[in-house]
Amino acid sequence: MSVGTPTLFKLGIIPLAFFFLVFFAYPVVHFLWGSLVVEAGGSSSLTLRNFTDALGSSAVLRSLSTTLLLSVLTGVVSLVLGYLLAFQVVRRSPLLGRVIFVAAIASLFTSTIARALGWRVLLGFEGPINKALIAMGIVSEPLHLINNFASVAIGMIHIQVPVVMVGLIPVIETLPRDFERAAVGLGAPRWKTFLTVHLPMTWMNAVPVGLIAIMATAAYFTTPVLLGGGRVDVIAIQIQQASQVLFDFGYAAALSVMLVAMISAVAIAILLFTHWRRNVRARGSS
Amino acid sequence: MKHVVSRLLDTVLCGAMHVLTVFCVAFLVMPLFVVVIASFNSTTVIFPPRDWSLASYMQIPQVAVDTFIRSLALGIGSATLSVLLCVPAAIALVKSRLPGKAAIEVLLRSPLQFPAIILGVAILQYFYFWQGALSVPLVGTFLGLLIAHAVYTFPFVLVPTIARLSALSGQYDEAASGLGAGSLTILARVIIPLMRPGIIAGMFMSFIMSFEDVAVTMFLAGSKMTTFPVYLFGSAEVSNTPGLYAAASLGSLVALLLVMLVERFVGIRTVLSRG
Repeated sequence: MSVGTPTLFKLGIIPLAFFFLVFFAYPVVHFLWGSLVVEAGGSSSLTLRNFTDALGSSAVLRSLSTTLLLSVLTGVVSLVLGYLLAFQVVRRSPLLGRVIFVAAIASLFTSTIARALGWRVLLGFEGPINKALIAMGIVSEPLHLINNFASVAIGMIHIQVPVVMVGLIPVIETLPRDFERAAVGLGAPRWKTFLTVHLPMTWMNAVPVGLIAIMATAAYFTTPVLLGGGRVDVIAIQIQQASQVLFDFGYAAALSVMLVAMISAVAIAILLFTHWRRNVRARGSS
Repeated sequence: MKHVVSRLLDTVLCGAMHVLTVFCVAFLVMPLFVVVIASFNSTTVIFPPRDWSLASYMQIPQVAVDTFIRSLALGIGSATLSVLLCVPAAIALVKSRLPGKAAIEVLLRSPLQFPAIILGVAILQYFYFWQGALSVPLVGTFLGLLIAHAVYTFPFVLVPTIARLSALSGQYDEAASGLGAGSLTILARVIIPLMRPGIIAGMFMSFIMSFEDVAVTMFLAGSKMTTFPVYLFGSAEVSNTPGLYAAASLGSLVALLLVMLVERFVGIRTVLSRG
């Protein structure tokens, strides 16, 4: 390589670095910093007022707990179902695997608004699910299935299952088939092979995928609005209200800091827990 | 006896797993079919439709068509801008001796995990500042949306281009340079062509993210620059007409056609495994 080449290549970082600093880093830091600043009479002062206001509001506290519950529930269910689907895609007959993969990809790339509309029809008062329940004689009157926490959770799980599945396929693919062949060859039943070979060898890499689902769900806006019918107040809705209805960027920033703090706390707790479990396991076996 | 019980348990559990799998696949595809079927209503959304017709597709308002074209342009624009920014950066991060490479890469990836809704509000506040202090109008303009979408989507190009370059052996450019090629020739004839699968994968993901984004765009679009998903979201919030379902079906169709194209030329699994 000629002498000037590495220097020339180095310069390539400049446009993106500039773009990143000017349009991502600065706006985000400035916005979040604004949560600590209150402007009064031409002078600005540092204060925690936005945070005390937010924490003093029962609506905010309720939306924080709703968001936490929704995202953890979505993450856990999506991880279980996504693991199942990824396992089937990798380990089952090519045909079944292909069907599952196509279904998940079609779902993944369909707009989330369209999918929420689909659930709105499915879960509607006169929708197919209510009709089926009545036809089977399980209920005599249609149930209110939509505009509640459960419908939002269903919509969010529907969004995250394909994401988790796609993330888990490489995790399961890296597990050598010989291990399970050995277990089955030695007479272990398939469920025992799954519990003692598959799960222990993949879950360390599976948990972060579930974590991404939790983090994405915690900040989701559209599905809680469309399937919650105003009754499921997540923190993203509070942030949108604060900035577009109240025009209070400082307050919106305080809510955003709280959202980021909550996501980070969940992430740290889960990662610490998985590492602790792994250490216990490692010590136990040595 | 114990053996029989164990065998039975195995069969039952495996059967249950298959039933659950079938249920999951149904769960994934049901809403998609339902949206399309519901679009065959003519006046009100009933399932199954009483009068199967395509009338709702005639009812799609002009604003849906306008926003749709705008979203296509925005998606192509932000994918292109992301490539223009990320390809040189990826080359710098992989092929040069840049100090602090690892830290820079982590920083540049950070928008990927950052909540879109916070990004949207932060950029809105920043654009207000530009409007006030520098009188550059960015809220409610195509340029403003393009910048915001590029911020949101560039990591989807950066990650696969870096992955592609790192996976390639450095022998190609060493060979080219040994044969007397200059830096620019190596770039144009060796490195960039070798990056092509990563670039295509990144452009696809970047386009999709832009084409389906609501959380960032809703803050910045104003009334004049509404995009297709923001329009759909706004209508879905206040109404429930067959035309809405028709528009949603057509919008999803475009995304799925693009997925099929990508599957044909690059393979969707390679695209997803890099993202």
